[in-house]
Amino acid sequence: MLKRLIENWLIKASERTYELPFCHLLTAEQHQVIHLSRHGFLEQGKDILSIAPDGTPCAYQLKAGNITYSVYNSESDQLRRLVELPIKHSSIPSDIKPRVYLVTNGNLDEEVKTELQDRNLAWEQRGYPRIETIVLGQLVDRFANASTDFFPIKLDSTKSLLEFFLNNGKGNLDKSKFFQFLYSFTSVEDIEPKKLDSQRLIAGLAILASFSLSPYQETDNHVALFEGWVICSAVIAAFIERIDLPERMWKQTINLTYEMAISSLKSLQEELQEREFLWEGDPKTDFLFYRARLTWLSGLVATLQLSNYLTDARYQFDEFSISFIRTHLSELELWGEGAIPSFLAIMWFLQKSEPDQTSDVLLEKLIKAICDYNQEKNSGLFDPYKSIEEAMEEKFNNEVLGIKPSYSYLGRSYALESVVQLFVRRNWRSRFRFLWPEISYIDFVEFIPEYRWQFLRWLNEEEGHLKLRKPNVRQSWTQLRAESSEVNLDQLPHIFRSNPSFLLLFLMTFPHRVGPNVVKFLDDVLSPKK
Amino acid sequence: MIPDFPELKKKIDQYLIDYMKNRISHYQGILNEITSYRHFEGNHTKVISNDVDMSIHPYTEISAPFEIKNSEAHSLTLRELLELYDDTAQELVRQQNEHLLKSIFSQKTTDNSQSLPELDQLDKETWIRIITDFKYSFDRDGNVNLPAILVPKEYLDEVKEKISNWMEDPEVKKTFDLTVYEQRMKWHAEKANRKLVD
Repeated sequence: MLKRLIENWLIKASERTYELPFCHLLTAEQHQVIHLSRHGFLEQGKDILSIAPDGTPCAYQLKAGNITYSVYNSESDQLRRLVELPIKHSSIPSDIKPRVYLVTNGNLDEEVKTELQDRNLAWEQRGYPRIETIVLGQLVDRFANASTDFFPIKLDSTKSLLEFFLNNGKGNLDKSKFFQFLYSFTSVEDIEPKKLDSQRLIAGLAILASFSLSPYQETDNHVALFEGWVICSAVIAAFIERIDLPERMWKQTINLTYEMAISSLKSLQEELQEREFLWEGDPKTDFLFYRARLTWLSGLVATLQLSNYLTDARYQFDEFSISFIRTHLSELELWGEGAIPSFLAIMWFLQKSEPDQTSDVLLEKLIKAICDYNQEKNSGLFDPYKSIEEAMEEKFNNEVLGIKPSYSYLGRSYALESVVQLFVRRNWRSRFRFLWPEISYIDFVEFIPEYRWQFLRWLNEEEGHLKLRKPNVRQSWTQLRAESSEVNLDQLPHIFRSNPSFLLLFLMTFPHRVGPNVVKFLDDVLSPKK
Repeated sequence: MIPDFPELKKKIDQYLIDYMKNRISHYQGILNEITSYRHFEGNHTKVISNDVDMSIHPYTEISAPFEIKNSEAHSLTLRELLELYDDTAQELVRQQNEHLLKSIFSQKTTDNSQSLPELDQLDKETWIRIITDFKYSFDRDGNVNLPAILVPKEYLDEVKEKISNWMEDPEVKKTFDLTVYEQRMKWHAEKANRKLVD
């Protein structure tokens, strides 16, 4: 069944779609992946570079579909460069003869095989490596081998995999279900995680994620893909944090999954640049979601720019992102606390791109809005565990159908303390004085996991506690300033400390993990003290 | 396998769950008015006030048996099924109320609050004492939130009539208005204290 599934996926995959899973496959086979050339800008005819377990450098050129004689002819120059141009990369030893591969998720025509044999002879005579081919059947076998270590023992997961694989890819990703699906492979009690197995398991998880997310790839559902890759990274990060796996055993896979998440955001931004309108699907009912969607999209655009900045401090935000966020700033909607990470990303983005105090004003408005929602005459703000769909459904049921919600949201906030501390950091005491009386009526709530790695789980139903802090009625500004400058990283997984950009992506996908220390940590790296 | 109707059954199942929720609300009565929040994670809540850990509230699981025997499934009527859901709802509410009242009474003990008198001891003087000792809450505009009074169903009409008559009594009314006035003043003072200081 697994092989049929993989074959089905591979046949439908484009060159870009199976490029990353192929890298994960190499990782699972103990290769060290050195370079992945996205969108083919590498001039040497090599899409992927790796070092095999025996130390031999390997170069791969990936193609999609059957390679007919005419296709071969049109691509022959690229193949020549694959073979004849030396690998130029600082991590690849130049004195070892490399192995070069033509990879396709289709097959080779007979004429192409014959032609390749002749060309290989000629190349060998001139001292170049010969082109080895990897075709559909071999790919299926290798992907299946990389997955079978843990796949067959999880029959429940097979059902989930099929459900993901067969869905139409048009809706939002069921984040809880996707997390649970991937996490189930790492939580098997009867598997003793050996270090080598763990490395294969991590790479295998990324391959499984590729299969499961393929419907979203086919529909170019960039946001679902982004969330899917962040969840995959979180599952892997939780696993490595829990068993304390050395960095060299997971870094490559995490880097690749992170790269996939970023790549999805880039594709999203490209689509936004091309679109005239930002409504989607049935226009009759889209008004319900339009502003929430704009808020989400603005947050994601800001997240991409901030991630680029965190990777390279010299990075300048692109013109489109500045124009997009500025244009839609007045249309943002605080539909629930699930929107808070979007607002924070936009705030940090504005802080870097706008010379005025727009970002501080946004923070102040956010505090006022949370307080307003929590006035007794209102019904509170949806908690961050609610997705846009769930929030809109409950709002519609309540306001249109008169169905009262089962639970209250009034008088407490998961995000208020974080936003307050960020505002206090900006030292607007005179303005904050008017905000505090209203803030003091609202309890600050935050989930505290039992163990650090549990921060990365979607939900911890049986461990940890909810901290409910009642703000002081009479609050000292000096004390608040001191609190806002302290950052306690005890609960923060190690991976985020060395990769704050991943934390930003994580919060966009796991909005219920926004907390005062997490946002202060990000604030420190995004707005370092002068 | 013999023919089944899973999609429709799923819909009916949802209706039945909604029915049970409605029955739960019905049996909860006034306790249904207590604000409830959904907690998604963890096994307890820790309340912190004035930067000091005030209390820990572990979560308590409540459950009620719901069983349909294979031998009875084919002869079950809709009325019987609804009765089963109704029984389950009653049992869940019983456990919930038991837990809730236990919490309220343990809270009362720590507060040194006065217990309500037995019904036969409830006279005008006692009522005046109750409305004088009670700590009223106010909404943000300063309007008093009148307290709920829990009374056994069989005495409800009698108590309602007694209280209505007493509240029209000038002496009781004056005491009530004065108590609320004094507490409102105190509330205003507290509100004025709700501020940012150095």
